[in-house]
Amino acid sequence: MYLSNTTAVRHDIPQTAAPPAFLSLVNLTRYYDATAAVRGLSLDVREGEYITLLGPSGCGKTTTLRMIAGFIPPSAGQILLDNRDIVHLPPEKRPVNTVFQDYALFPHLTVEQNVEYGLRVRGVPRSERRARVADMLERVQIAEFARRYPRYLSGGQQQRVALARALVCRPRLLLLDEPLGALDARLREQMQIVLKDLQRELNIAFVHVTHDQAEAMALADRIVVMRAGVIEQVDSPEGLYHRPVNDFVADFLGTTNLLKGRCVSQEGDIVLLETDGLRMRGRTHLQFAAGETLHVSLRPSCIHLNSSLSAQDNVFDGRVEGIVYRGENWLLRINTGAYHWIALTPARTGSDAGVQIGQNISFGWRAEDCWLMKAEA
Amino acid sequence: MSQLRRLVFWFYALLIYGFLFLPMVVIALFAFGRGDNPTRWPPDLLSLQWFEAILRDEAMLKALRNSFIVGLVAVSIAALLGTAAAFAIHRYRFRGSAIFYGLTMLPAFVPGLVLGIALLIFFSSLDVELSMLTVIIAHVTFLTPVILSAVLSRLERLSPSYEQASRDLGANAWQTFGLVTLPNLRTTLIGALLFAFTLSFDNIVLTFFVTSFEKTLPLEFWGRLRFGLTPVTNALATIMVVFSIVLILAANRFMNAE
Repeated sequence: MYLSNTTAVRHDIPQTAAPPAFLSLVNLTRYYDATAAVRGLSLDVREGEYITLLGPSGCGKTTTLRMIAGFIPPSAGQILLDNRDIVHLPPEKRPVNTVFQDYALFPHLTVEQNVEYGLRVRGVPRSERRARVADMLERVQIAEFARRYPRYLSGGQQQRVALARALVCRPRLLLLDEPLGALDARLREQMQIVLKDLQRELNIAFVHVTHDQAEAMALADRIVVMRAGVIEQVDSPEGLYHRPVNDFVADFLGTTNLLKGRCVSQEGDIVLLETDGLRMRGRTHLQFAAGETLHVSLRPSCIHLNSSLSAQDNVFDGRVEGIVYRGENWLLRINTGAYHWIALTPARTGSDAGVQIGQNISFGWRAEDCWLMKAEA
Repeated sequence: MSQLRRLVFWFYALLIYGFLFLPMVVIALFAFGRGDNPTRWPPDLLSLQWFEAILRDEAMLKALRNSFIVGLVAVSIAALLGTAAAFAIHRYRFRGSAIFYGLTMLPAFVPGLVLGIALLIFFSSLDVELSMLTVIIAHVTFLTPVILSAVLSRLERLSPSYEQASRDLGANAWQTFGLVTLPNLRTTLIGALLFAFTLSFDNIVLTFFVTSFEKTLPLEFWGRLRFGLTPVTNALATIMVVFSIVLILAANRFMNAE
């Protein structure tokens, strides 16, 4: 979504067959004292893939990252690289590099020396070192600061140095620990473009930890949603957004109208359900028994106002209680008595929202836009 | 700041510094005096004869040499022990590490008199003859905590992610120590060494207990005072004060540099 107007060259990955997985986390578990930070986590990482680990703080995403890097030994489980377990290898023996949250640039070395560090300690010959460092500084556009010390750089520039320092080692896998957390919103969007372009150019797999769902959606080929040390769902951004497995995932990615209801009857993939006295239809790929509790997720952009919805659709009457202008759209709050709905309507130049606060309106959504999920026990 | 407050501020500062340094200034003035009465005011300026007298004074020069030997050797040993201990305490939270830290710091806070007597009893119970070596050992005991605390506080402010980043980039533990940790400790270490040397150079109580015939500069100085003040002792005191001030200023510069 942010990539449309960049000028960088891109080599599009063929979309046919998914590349093979080269790194597998198998039942990875980590305890701190008696509490599990990560529990039975299994995940395959494919060549050249951009994965984000997404979840609230304390969900175990950073612990997972640090186990892959080798800073924390797992309590149980395996990390298979090309089918070899690397759990017992120290960080320096793993073909993995990390971009740290605080960048961790060496304060006593210049930008150039920082980027050169990984090649120097590995004994790469000087001439090759020079060439690779220069190339990488060019790629992240910090060549002009090569002789400066990190403390004289801005946050965004330091971030680029950290990226160059890790990537110059040509890792099989790059780990990024909340890399954009310290940057302001505008810079964050710029860096997202840099990250995505670099990842495609170099065709290196990235595993990126974040708690920012917009960042995860903008960057990832696949998002891993975590909660309390376990994976809730792994899917593409579109898949997660439109087909969340439970209310947690639905709520964590973007804004949604979440309801709890009961199945009245099911016909194919359409379920008639009841919630707080309202009857509506929703779509599912699961089987619900009559009377079974279920969760409903309805994205605000799926709600239509005063439009010609058919009798098959869900149509209700409500009162407009709030209108917020958000540039690209209007955000409305609609009260139907039992529930406050959030709706988005596109904003057109020179027109208002088309409704006023206090106005009674009819609104609704198509049954297939209403996503149903199993309620957890 | 208003005019009055500025005035009060400077007056106050002058008072404090006067209180602290006036006695030393008086001694320095006498050191540059022409007469041989070291206490009659005002001194009859200006002459360097008493400083020249020190240069001709064999015993004094020998004491100076001893002080430097003791200082250099003791500080070197303390630097190794103190740095190693700081790393141990910082890196490993072992059972009793707080007690270990407390015990290591103790000699810096125990009165020199007590430490001196304790060491003297210790040495004589082991039949160790008092010499320069016992002086050096004694100095190491109270210099180690000085280095330890300086290095430890620096380590605690040093982000652990530097070392992790180094390992992550392919450096082993030794490379990491040499290329990342040590360079970041350098200024702190130099500062701590200078400060420790100053403490060693000025020490008298502890040295008094554990030396035999060999005298360090402060001991030589003390010995002469028993025969009364002379312009030579004034000159010597002036040199020691200036030397200490220079060392402390340098130490401060390094410790605050980072």
